[in-house]
Amino acid sequence: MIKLEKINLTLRQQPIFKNLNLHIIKDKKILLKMPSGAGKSTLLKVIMGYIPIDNGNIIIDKEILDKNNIDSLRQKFAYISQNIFFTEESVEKYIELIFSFKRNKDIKLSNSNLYTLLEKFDLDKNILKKSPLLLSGGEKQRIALILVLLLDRKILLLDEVTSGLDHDLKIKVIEIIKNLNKTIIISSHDNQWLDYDEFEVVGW
Amino acid sequence: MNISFFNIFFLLIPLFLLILGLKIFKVNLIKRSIISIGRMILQLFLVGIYLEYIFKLNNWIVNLIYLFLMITIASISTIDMVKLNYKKIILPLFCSIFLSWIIIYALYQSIILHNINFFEVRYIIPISGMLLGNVLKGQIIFLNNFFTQIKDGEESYFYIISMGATKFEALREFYRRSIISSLQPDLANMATIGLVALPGMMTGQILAGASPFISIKYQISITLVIFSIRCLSLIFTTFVINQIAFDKFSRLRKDIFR
Repeated sequence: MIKLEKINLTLRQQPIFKNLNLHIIKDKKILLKMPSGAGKSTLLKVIMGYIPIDNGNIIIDKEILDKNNIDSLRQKFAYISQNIFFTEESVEKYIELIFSFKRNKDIKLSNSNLYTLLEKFDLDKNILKKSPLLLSGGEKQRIALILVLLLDRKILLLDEVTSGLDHDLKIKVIEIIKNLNKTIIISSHDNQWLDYDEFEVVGW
Repeated sequence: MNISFFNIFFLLIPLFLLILGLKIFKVNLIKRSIISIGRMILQLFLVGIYLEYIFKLNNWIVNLIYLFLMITIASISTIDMVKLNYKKIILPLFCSIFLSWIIIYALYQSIILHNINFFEVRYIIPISGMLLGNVLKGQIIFLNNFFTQIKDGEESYFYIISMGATKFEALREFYRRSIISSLQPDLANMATIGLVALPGMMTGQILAGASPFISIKYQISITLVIFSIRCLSLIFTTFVINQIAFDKFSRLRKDIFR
């Protein structure tokens, strides 16, 4: 599904990856568990084509990622990072914005799905009317996850999606992610992920 | 009424006494004041000399060259203030400003100054100067704001791209905010115009003997085209940025910065 071949990357004179090889098969859940600065977040961005690599190949579904297929390949992914802010005046409007994009036109936003997911993630319906500026970090992370699930992408790249949550919520979110039928790469400092065999720990 | 240089230099005496007086507050601006005031006088002096020539010549080629020079300087100053890479941005930005100027000035000329030759120096040089000065201010605010936002919000940009947005859809919010912040000072300026200070052009016309009513008509028409050119140049520059500031992977190009 995702194959990294001999990835080399140097950022600001710091070598980040040296001949990195990684093979992730379909529906596998990978946990990147390494010290800060090892390049976990960078790896997720590299897979998305957000950071140019010095050399090597990124192969997704047998296609080598390049400038011609980047847009279509990105549609297989959903990527959530640590510091996102939502635009628009309310969470609801932001969700509508995402579904108004040309590429998402064919996806129907079902309110019942949305409400079920809100409940699953322990969020009140009223949050939809709230201004994104008033959301806590944990609330934003959960809304971002809900949006990703509504779009139903095949591969999820999750960068520290549980960092802003308290212990019980971390467990809740991890259990939801654990049961998804998707290929998932997680970068996290939280140890709670290690309690589940579904996540295979990978490092380099 | 003409005024004499001798009398103008008399104004410098109270000014320097005041600057010396500021030393009470430990404000030491003597050196900087001398440099700034010196530059102001020298630059205006030079402008006076070559404008005299340009006005006497009233030749359309000379006027056009002068305008090209103004647009080039406006582009360079913008790039300088926003700390962008000269080589990459200068030509597209020049085109953006030039196109805005030619469209808006042609509009102004054909609607307001239709009895006057297009390149008539008394009109084209000062009016274009006002238009370009405003474009310069607007561009600096817009570009500064846009690049600061996109650098700070890169993760959000990546998130929304991964959620299916095209590059333009993902950037629209950044553009929207930068355009608003760029136009805001001009909107505020229009809303308070004439309440306290009279605009410079109007003052100039009144001092030169024009009736206040003629001068406000000029002022209104100029204020309208100034706002128009600020909008138009932002549209063109947005288009330029969309084309050159991002690579084929929709990533912000690092090499457009200095």
